[in-house]
Amino acid sequence: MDLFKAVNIDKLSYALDVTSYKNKVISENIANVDTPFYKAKKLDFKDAMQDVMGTGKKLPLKVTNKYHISGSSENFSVSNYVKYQNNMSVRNDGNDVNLDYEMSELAANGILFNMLSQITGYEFTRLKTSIQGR
Amino acid sequence: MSYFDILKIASTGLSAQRIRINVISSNLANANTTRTEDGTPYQKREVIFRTILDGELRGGVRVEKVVRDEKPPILKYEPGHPDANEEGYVAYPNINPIEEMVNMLEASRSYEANVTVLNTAKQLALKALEIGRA
Repeated sequence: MDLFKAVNIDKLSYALDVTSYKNKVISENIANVDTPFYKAKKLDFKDAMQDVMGTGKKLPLKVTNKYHISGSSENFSVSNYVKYQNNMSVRNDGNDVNLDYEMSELAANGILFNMLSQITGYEFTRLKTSIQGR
Repeated sequence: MSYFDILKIASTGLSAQRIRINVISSNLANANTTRTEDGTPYQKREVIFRTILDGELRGGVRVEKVVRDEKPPILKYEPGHPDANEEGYVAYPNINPIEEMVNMLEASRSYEANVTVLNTAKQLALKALEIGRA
């Protein structure tokens, strides 16, 4: 859809996807703050965005039916970027969740989501302006 | 230096002070422990803080190590005590509870200060998002 290419809405919606998924990862870490042997996960926003920004790689399309055309050749999903944090555990139960870090990441991620959703709104406003011509 | 870096740095401060409070509570809990696993009385532990000099957390703080205080134990004459030596003296840990309490107060004030920094950075970021709003 070339109309939306001009205003980056596809990239923004993917960025919003990444941010929501990151929220899920952080929530999981916080929920498991007392689970023995739980290892903290992370999702680096930059990592997940780098593959689609400027590389010309197609953004993922969700395929609901195997006869549909898939958007990209490889199996592409935000969850591929989830990694382990590999923190030094300072506890006896093998859990390496750092609660303070997770809480600050949660705050930062919320702000980022707000920012992205605002920018998406502006992009739609631009689009509307150019369609209406006033 | 983005808002997100401020959040990350403040969170390193939070983690460091949390570990410090953990160690202090260990010291207070074991102020009268006359025998540990290796047969010696408990030794006071202290955390060593270092500035993070590289990476995305540059300017933050990390706990480099937890060191044992090598002060000699306090000998008390208690011949009936199971851990008494041949002369009837028991080695008690050289821990001053008042000192520990003062350190704990300091650590918790530092923690609060870091929380304030975090909240301020959050407010700044959210205020910046309101730029250009009608």
